[in-house]
Amino acid sequence: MKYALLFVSVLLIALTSCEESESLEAIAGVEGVVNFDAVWPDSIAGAVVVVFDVDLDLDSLNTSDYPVFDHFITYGDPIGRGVQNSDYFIQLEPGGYILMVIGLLIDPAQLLANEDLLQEIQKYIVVPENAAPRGIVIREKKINEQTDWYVHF
Amino acid sequence: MKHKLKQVVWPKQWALYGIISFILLGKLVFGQGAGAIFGIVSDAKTGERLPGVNIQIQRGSIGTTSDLEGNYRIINVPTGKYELSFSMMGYAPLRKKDVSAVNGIPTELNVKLTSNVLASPQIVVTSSRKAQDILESPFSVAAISQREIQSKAVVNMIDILSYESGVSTIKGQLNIRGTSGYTMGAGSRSLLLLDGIPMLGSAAGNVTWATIPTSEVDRVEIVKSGGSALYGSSAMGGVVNIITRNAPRDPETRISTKIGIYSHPRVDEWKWRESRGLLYNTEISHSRSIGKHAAWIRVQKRRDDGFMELNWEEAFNISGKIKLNFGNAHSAAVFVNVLDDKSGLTSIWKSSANPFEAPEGSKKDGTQGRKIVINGHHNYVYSPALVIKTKGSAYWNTWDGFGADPNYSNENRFYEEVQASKSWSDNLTTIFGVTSQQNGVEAQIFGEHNSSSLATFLLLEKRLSQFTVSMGSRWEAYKVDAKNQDQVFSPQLALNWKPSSWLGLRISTGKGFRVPTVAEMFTSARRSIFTVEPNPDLISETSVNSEFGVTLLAGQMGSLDLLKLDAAIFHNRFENFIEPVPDSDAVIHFTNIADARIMGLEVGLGLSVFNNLLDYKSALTVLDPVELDSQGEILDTLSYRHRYHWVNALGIHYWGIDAALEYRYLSRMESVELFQENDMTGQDTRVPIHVWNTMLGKTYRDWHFLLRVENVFQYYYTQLERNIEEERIFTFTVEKRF
Repeated sequence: MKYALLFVSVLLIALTSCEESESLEAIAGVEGVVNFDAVWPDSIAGAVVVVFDVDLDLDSLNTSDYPVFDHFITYGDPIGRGVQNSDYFIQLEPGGYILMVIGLLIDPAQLLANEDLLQEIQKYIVVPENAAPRGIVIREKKINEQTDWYVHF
Repeated sequence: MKHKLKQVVWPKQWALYGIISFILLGKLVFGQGAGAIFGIVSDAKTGERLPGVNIQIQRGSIGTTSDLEGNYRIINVPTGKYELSFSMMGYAPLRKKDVSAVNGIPTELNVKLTSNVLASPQIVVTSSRKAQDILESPFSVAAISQREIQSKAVVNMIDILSYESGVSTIKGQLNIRGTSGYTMGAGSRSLLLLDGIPMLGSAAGNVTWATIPTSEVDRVEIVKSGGSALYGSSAMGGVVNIITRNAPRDPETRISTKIGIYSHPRVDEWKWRESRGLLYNTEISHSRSIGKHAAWIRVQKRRDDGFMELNWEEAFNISGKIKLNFGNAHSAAVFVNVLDDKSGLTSIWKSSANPFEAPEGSKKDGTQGRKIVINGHHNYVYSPALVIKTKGSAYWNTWDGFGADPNYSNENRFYEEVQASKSWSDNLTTIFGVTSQQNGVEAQIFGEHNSSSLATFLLLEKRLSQFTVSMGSRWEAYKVDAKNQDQVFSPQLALNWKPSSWLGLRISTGKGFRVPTVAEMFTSARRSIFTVEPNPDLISETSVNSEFGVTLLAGQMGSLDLLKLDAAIFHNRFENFIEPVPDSDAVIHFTNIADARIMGLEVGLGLSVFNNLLDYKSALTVLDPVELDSQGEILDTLSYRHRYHWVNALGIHYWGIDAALEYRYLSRMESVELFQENDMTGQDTRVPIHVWNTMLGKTYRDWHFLLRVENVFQYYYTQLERNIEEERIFTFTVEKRF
């Protein structure tokens, strides 16, 4: 019996001393709903919620030398053309950010397949008429749920 | 344990039998100086006599099974000393050395077998298409006994498979040595057989595990290598053969109920329902003899709320099997299964902030359908040296989607096989046969298609002292929509060396192939922002599989009750590997990518000590899965493969109580296909996996009780992108046999 107990003890010690657990835990971020007009302009192939670290000059956003990518933090899942409303969620570290919704002149799936396109994103975006950038604050393990959008291209 | 080994004088009936036999069979029976060995096999603890025990003399060339009273008798044993092996599922194997067969004097040998939950079948039938000692198998084989399946009270068969080395699962998709990865339900590189008959779906080539009546399974055999020489397409990554039980002659009724309750998420922010999710599974089965035939029937009803919002499922299942005995030369069996099921359907979570919820707009999505399986086989023993087996199967699967994404599919599959086993001498056996299969599918996302295949196979097995050489080949041709798509020739070569009664070594190489499925060739669908387009030009992927392995099987030495060790190194090289590949426009095609290679190591250990007080089972798998270019240079790690997989189970059996603790580790998934999870911010939901399970069981007379807790510490992880896995669940199972 003592050998049995010794065997069990050694085994349990061996098992529990393995790599430290890294279970998924609660995260911080922002979530909401993006609502669109019933009819999308022909030129708009999709839309996406983007996060910047500063408040950008919207008038300069499409100019080629404006450093859009330098202030780019991340973006939500691209939204396909024709959608009337779509949930979005973006995981973020605690801190302050600027959010905005932009229209895409290219198929949003292309953005996922070619992340290099992000570096010259100003070529492919359209700023909606009524979707001004918004500042948000993200706190530790909290979800900011106050950021819905109504977009009119 | 003491065994009686003594020689007795011929009783009168033996003498009479001998005289009659001698007259009838001449030299074949006693012409060369033959003896007989007989005795009784019983349970060491209860003394109960054991029917169905497999008894083999030496290298399996002579053998028998014990009858309903536990009696066995082997006649025509040439004079000499032999080693006898006794094996039965659920019992530690026993070997008796130096058993004498004396001309004209039968030898009595009574033995007692010790019950052991780790003891797996020692005789396997899948790796060579014939009954064979597992130590003489040319390929790596794992065998799981009925008792081990019942000890975990699993409802879904796939839940038991990943306790074996080299085997893992991802969302119901089987992976043997990492060959399948995750193919989004469109093609499996591991073949599932039910009683030796292929069970992959005709459209997607996937496995519907719910059609397997888990509680009526006699044993499972997993062949982890060997290519396609014996079983054809999809066997390139291994074969799982699930063998259903035959009804015993004595009537038996079994009632079983399993109830379970899911925990709320440990993370408060993830709580998504007010009351805890529940599950129940109720089964009633009855088996009995009908004249000289025997049959069982099972009715099952289950409902599972699931741990995720769209993870729910419910099913009603009736299955049955009748074994027909027409004398010594003919036997047959028919298996029927009808399954009505309904389940939720989601591809991803709502978000990593709400991982248990379904995305808005898909919360009511689901499917419902009916699956019917009819399998039959007939064995004809033409002579002791020639056995002809005929198999046939029909399968229908219809389902309709409901919710925001209505869809439908109607599939059918018919399979026929004729196999002959011919023994030319004690040392040379050939197995050859013909198979054909016809598939049809009509579905919204595939269209309407037909496919068929025709194959012949040949296996030669030659014994040379302690060595066994196996050579095999299979030629297969297949058509899709009446177009001759391809022909494939798959050879294999294997060598087994069994230097002692407890050790077997093997080395093998073989070619494998997999025909692309209708789903891979013709799927046309758009999901969210992703588009999948057809690629009817897909060709078969092929592989060259090689392995070297060793199996050690010992029982009853001092404090050691049972020791099983199986280790193998393997190298699988693939050509024209089929993977879903997004192009620069993010349109996904199933494509023959250049090459891939998966090599690795697997070690399985089973240990039982101190008169079965403790048992320990461990399965370790190490993989190196890479994509290669045409020059053989490494391009990337193959997606959806865990590099390290280690499963441990420790059991304690005391005072009639069975307790167990299980630990499962999988290393972080290195590569996934669609969402690398926000590379820009470094946020990632791929983590190493550490899951603990525990259980407590008690058998009291004909009652069995089992309490089981899975994912005890509520460890959260993903394997697929945006899919959280298993919540903690408490289950309680009660079973009563009459």
